[in-house]
Amino acid sequence: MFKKSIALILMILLCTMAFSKKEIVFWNAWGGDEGKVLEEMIEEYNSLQDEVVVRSVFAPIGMGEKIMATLSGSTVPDVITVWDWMVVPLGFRGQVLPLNEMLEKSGIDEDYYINGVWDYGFYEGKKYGLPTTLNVSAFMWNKGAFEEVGLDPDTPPKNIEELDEYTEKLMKYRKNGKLKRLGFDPVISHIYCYVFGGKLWDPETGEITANDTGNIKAYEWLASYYEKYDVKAKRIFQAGWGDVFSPLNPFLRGEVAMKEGSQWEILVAQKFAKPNFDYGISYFPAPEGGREDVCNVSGSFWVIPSASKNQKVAFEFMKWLTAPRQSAHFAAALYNIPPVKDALNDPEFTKIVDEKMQVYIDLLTDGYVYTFPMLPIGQTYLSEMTQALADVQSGNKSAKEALDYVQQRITEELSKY
Amino acid sequence: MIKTNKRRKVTVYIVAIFLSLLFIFPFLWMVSTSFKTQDQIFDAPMELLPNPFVTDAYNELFTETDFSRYFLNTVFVTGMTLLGVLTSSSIVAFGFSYFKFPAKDLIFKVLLATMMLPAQVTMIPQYMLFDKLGWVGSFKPLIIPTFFGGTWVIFLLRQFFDTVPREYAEAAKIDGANELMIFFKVYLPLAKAPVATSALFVFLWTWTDFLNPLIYLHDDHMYTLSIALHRIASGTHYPNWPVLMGGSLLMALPIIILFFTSQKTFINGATISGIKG
Amino acid sequence: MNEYTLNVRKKTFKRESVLGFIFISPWIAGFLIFTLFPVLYSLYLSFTMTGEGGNLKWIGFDNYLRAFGERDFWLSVKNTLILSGIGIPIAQIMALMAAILLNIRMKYQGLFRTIFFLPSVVPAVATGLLWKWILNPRLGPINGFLEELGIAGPGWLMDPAWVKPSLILMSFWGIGGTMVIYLAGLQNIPDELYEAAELDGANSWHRLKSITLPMLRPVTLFNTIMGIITSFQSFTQVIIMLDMDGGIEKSGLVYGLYIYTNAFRDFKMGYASALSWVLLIITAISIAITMKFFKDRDN
Repeated sequence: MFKKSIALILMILLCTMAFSKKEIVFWNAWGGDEGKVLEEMIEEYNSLQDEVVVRSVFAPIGMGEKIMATLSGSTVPDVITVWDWMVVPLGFRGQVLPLNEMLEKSGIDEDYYINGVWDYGFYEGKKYGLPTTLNVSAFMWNKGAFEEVGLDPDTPPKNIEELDEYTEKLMKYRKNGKLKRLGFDPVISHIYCYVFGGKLWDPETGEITANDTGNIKAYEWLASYYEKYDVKAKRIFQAGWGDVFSPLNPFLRGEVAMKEGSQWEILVAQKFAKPNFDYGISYFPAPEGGREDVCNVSGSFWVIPSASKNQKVAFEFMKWLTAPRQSAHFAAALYNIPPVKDALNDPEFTKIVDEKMQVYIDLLTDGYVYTFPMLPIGQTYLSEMTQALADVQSGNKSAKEALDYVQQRITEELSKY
Repeated sequence: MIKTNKRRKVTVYIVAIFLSLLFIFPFLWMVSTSFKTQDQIFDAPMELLPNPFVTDAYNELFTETDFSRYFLNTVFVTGMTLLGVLTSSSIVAFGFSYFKFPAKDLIFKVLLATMMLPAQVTMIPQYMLFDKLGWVGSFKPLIIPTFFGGTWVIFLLRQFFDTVPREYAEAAKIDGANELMIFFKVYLPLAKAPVATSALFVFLWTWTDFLNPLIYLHDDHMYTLSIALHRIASGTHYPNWPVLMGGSLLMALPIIILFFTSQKTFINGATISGIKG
Repeated sequence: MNEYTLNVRKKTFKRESVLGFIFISPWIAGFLIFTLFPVLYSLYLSFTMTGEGGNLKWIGFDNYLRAFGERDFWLSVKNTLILSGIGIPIAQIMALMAAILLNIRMKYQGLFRTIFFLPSVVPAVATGLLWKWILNPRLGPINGFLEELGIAGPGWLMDPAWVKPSLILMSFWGIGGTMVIYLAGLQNIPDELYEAAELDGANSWHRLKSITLPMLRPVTLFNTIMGIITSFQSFTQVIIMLDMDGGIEKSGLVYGLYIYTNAFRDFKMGYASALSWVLLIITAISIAITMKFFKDRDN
């Protein structure tokens, strides 16, 4: 009897020891096939080491409802996926951990990441998360359309003047006066702020520079563009544009000749473009005195909640996830670009790199990389800038007035913190 | 007399059919999309009939994930919710309708007022509350509160109970019934239509609820159908349309069947000759 | 009245009050346990802002005063009132008419009712995307049809002047739910009333006015009040059909969307809470006015 109880106790002890692997919870924001890729990677990690079992939970980000709710409670996951603009507000409010110390201990610093990407996620000296993969914007042009109007199909516009000139040439109308092809369609207006030599903030000091002269010039240029071409007609024309990821993609159908495009649109063209469709990718054309290599970067982040009870092991897992091979593998699955330098050469990633993708990579590694300022006020700055542009376009305010207003508003907002 | 009746009948039919076509058209588009391949849905001009007709979307839905698991979870949550809401709300609605008591009007106004605060801001403090109770990560936050009455149903049932003539209750009283028996034997049987309506809506809202299960459940295997569908159909750069449409249709099916088969409770309509209204 | 009767009355009153409270006690308990804290907390939040480290700073009525100075606040109020003010009455009338129509005994009655109800069952995302396509000024079937007739279709969701009509038009498709509630209400009207009226020589219109409508009053009141409450808060359709800013020139910026973006996109929970309480007040006032209107018509 006695021996039996000892045996039982020993067995129970052994069992609990076997199950004493720490479990950390990872919020996987990806569904479908992409989510599966990540889950496979997690399985791999679990089999590679004995210290930790990572449990993946499907957690779409949306607007952060689930994230904000959970972080207000006591049971939090250990690694969460969030949009880039959420990182600083969460970090500033103390809800996610600053990673500086752990990064330093691991020897990860600026050199680990592609040039310019290290600043991504910083605010007032604290880095609150690690980027998962990057989305990069570049300039695309329809070679066939260029040929049609007598332009050299292999030469994109070199500067703003040529851009304006080409736009004029490429505008095409139907017999009934309706638009058939838009010459150029600027959407991400802040790219042009940087192209014209302006900037949205000073990442070093954190100072807001909404009314930087370069920004004002950019807005004036954008507004003039809409003045020249009927905004209303353009909107209606654009309403007929299909989804980007579909054969109705306006660029592929020749409905817009020049536009901004992200790297994953290469995939779109591969899938849906007609066989004789040819297009090119290049840097954004700039005015005299502007920047010729503007590279806009955006993406999602992995962060560690401050209330996590497994911070160190969570960080180790995050480190593995963002290591070159894993980073390359995951980015390739999403048709995004890995943020980590060595990942660029990893065969997991290079297998999706063709000459078009290479342009994006070059832009990223050699260009002027900027991300929209990450501030504690979330996307307020972006929505103010969008409103400002709308005001300028409608003629309610001049570019200077509109941007002065944004400057004043945002500095005021930030001062409250 | 007979001629005008026939004309009336025909007009009614024509109007009903015309409106039905308008109402059903988008639904047909959904059905059609669910049977197409992902590439085909982008055909322009839009073809209503899938060609080829494939069941890929449905295959994916049933085989891809723990579909039966999510289905059972959803059935459980919806079933318990229905039980909780209908039983508690009918009792409370009766309370507000039948009895006179001090501050009744004020309390009812407070009840209405609780619906006037949007969920965007009450969501997080509510989560904090359930977190303190230790219910987060389980089905409890989704189910237990339903046993304390649902304001929408209470309001609807109260409106119906208010129309029950007091004489019926008086008659029952004379026969020796107490209030509880009056509730069960007089009021409730008369409220078949509103109770069925409430059941329909509560079923609909709970079955398709996305945000509440998402926030309060922390385990993949506890998730409900709405979340599962989101997971299967989503992609970083584009959604899987046939799967999204097919899944939405499958989720809508139980409710449609429920409504269609519950028509008995809604049939008290007069014949054509004595059109109601 | 003698003392005996008075005592009996007091006793019955006491008994009735106690019983009344017992019957509604589930709701009261639920309110105290589950609803009171979130409500009070959101009220408290409305007087604060979140600072560094997540600390809540008390700022008094700043959030409220700030709202009254914001252009977007007034815009969202205006948009919401216009959409609701036009949409709700029309939707109610349409739903009622549909209910009356589908209450007539005819073949396939159940089928027709189900078809009308279908849109309410389809998830909001699918509905929104569907209508986005239907109202597409270039590719959509509506403008296509108008073109056949030689009319230049409007820009619908792309034209700020047509955004609200588009949203209202789309909301009509969802009247099936309201219709079902009216149907339930119609079931409770005894056939004898109609038969008696017919014998008296009343025509359809008269029967509608003096029997149907008055008998439906409680249901109509319910539908209208719930219509006000939900339409004042709604915003998901706008996000799907337009965007998070409310579309071109923010013509579709509704109050619910304004609260949502402030809470989640701009991380301004305190301000969003204040906005919510302002909404509560506006809703309560609107309902009070509506009920007064109903009472006056009653007389």
